Amino acid sequence: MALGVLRAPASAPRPALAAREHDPLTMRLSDEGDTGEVVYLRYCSGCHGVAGDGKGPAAPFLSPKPRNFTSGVYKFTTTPSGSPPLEEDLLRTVTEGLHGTSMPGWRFLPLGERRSAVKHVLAFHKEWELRTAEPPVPFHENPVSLESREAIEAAIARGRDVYHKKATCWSCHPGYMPVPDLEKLLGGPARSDIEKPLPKPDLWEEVILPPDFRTATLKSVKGLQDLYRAVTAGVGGTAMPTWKGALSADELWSLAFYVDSLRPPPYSVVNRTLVALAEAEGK
Amino acid sequence: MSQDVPAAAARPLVIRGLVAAHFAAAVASLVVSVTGGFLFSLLFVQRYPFEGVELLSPGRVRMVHTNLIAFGFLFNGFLGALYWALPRVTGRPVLDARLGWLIFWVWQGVLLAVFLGILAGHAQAVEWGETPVWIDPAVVLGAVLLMVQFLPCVARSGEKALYVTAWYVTAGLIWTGLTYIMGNYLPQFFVPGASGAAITGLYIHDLVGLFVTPMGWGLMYYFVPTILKKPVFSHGLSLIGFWGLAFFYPLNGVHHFLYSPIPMYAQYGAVVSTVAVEVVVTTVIVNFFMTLRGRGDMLRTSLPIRWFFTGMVFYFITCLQCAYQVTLTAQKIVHFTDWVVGHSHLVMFGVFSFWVLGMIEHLWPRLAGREWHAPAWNAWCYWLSTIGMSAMFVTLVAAGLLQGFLWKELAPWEASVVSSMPFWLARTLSGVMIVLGIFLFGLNMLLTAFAPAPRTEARPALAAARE
Amino acid sequence: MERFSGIFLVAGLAFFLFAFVAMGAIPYVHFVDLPIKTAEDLAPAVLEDFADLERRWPEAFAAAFPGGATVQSCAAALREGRDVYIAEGCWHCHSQYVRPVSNEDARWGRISAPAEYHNELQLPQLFGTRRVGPDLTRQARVHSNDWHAAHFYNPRSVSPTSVMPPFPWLFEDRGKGPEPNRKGLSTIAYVQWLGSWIPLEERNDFAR
Repeated sequence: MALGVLRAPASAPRPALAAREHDPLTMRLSDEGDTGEVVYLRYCSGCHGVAGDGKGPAAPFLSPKPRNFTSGVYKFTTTPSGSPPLEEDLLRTVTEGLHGTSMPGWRFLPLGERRSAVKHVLAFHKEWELRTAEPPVPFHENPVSLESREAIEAAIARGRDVYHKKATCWSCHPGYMPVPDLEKLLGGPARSDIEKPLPKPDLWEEVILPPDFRTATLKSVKGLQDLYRAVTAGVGGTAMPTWKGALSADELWSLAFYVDSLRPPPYSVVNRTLVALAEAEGK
Repeated sequence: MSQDVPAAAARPLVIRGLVAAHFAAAVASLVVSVTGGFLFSLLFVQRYPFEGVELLSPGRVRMVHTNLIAFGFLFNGFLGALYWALPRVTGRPVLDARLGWLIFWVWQGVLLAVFLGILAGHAQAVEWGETPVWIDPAVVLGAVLLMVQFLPCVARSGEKALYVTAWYVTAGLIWTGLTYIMGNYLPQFFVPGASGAAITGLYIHDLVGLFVTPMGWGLMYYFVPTILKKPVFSHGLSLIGFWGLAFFYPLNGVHHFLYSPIPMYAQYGAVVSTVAVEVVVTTVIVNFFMTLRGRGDMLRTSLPIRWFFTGMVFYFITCLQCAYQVTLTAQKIVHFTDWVVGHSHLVMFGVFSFWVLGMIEHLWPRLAGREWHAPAWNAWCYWLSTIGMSAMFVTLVAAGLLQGFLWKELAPWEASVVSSMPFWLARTLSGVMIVLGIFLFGLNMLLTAFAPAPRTEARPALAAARE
Repeated sequence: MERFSGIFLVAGLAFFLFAFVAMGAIPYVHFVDLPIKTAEDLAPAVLEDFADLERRWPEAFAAAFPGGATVQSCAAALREGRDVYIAEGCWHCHSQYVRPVSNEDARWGRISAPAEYHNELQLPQLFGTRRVGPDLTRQARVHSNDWHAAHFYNPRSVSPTSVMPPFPWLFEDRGKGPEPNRKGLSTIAYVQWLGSWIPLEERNDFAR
């Protein structure tokens, strides 16, 4: 792989590349086929722009907008919110795509090409060489058995308490109990429009809604581990902080179980497991 | 006009005006069709000139390309040649000259409607029958009128044993009408999904096998012996060829949808009968090459013979290819790829269009009463078409293999597109050769017909053709 | 064998009829008891995506479908989208069935079954015979509605190497840049419908 290409300052104008972008006749599968910039131009530049600024020709149609890579901040990482991401984090997003957005999964792209594209994406930040990612948030194994209904239901109940009392997630996300009940639980006042999420601006100057778990597609969540990771690491560039240290591993996992139980059945591992266990008991 | 009018009929055996008119319409359609094909090919190298123009959207232009080849060029070309050949074969004129002109104008009206209708977005979702739904009745009417026009000529011939040409034409005319009705009405209104696909498959292939092929071979059985001035090699082989085609060809259609949700026994049946049909048509090719034996010099001296036999070599290649590609093993890779596009171009252009061009090459001077304006142009057309066609075939077959294997290896879709692009560029260039050749041919026809030079009656070949 | 009547009756009619029965009519018999689903039957599976179009382009949607996103308007959109799919010749470069070979299930998802096609929108059927672009039977939610809008407006904007032509006449500008018109909205709904009948949890991961 041509490392020199990756070191080129990303913000510098690249007229030669821009011209090539429009002429796939010259973008054959050759030795240059797996350099990051060729992969990026071929698959990513339409939305994210040749300069990585999120202003590709398709961007005006898209909502949410394609990420601007020059900011160097990424939402879905295993590093604590605010830290530069690991390559693996971007690789996961590239591979799986982001649900409910226009970012498709690129699992058929050879791993090497995906990796080199990710390196190219990271290099769009001006000082990318100087930045080091913080270590990823610790990953604890799931302590709750998925074989037992009681254990799952207990985890959901614990998570419900953590959600509403200790972590006060309802200050941005909706609260999922009647206001009087919540105020009794808190022993103090809660926000009055609690059934709705509270709009907040993000780093890229867009006002976004924190997800209401009952309806929203979660962009980077496929299973419980992803929920655990999102809560623990936070979501970069948004008001969702890292909960690393503030909550214990057990609390974080029960929060994941609770949030997952709010989701519609096709997406929710917990709800589908509960149904399956109930059926097994019935037989 | 013709000197030897049969005593029984007080009208000419051959209506020359109709032959000429159909040939002119055929080549006009061909010019439009190859231009459309060339334009469409530019899309594949991202250089389509009318991007964003609704009426010239490439998807629509593609349908104009395929429909004008079938219903414009081949249909008109075969009709013109039939008006010349069939009365000579049976010794009877066609039913009526006025009916002939009615059919001619109905048919050109249909073509215009198809051309405009498809460009205006009225295409029908029947492959190779994208003729808008509202024009289908006129096509059926045309097909029925053709039977009325030509079949009496065969039925009344009064001979116990008909000549081969008449077999093919008789069966072909019936098949054409039935095929069109089946393919354009059943899947459109009555039979959805998988069973509809089975019928559409029959339609696609019947149009090739039950319209184009019988007309093509039938006319070859007339023109080749006439020009070579010797009889066909084997009557037995002619019989095998005809009846084998008649039995096996209609069973082929489902092979366009192998591994689809159509019931598997239909798919197996289609594969077996396809292989059978390829064996059968090989006997026909043998028959013709044995007929050529001893007159091989005609390949050099007679351009029509060269067109015909080049077409037959291509025919043999497509048959061989087809017997291979129709197997379920090959289908895994080559289906849906450019391999098939290469195959269909070789059949439709390399074989049947070559034959029609050869017939026009042979007859046009006789119709115009003049020598070709520039015989060299026609030789150019032959070489450009032959080389262009060969190059296109090789290119597309290779591209097809590449695409098929990339898909199977789960490469990103874009990889198959990007890697095909050099092949698509080569395809466009080979297409340019064909387009140039066709333009030369069309221009030559025009200049021959309207040249200020006096008509010559002196040439012995021309006089002989009046027989 | 060389007489007119023999050729007319045996080759012309009998052989053709035999092939039609064997290859067309008998396969059809498998499906005669299966009801042909109407667009209204099919619309509920894609209604959520249709409603999402209304959220994204409220004015364009109101102009195109004044009654809002209902089963009826969605069915109308599916029919109209299918018509665009036919008129533009989409079906010449995209197929609509997943074969059990060549790793196609790994790429697109569940292998196609006959019953999936027994509906009004497959009349005429749209299996297709060429893939310049990918198969579309399992397209539902693989891409978002706005991805499709960007893609129909100019395919090369999202996929620079694409050879698909642009379809700007499926859009109109109401002062906020190009937005899909009735045809455009219908076409997007039609594409999102393809495969929407497969339960979400049974689709390939990337389609969820």
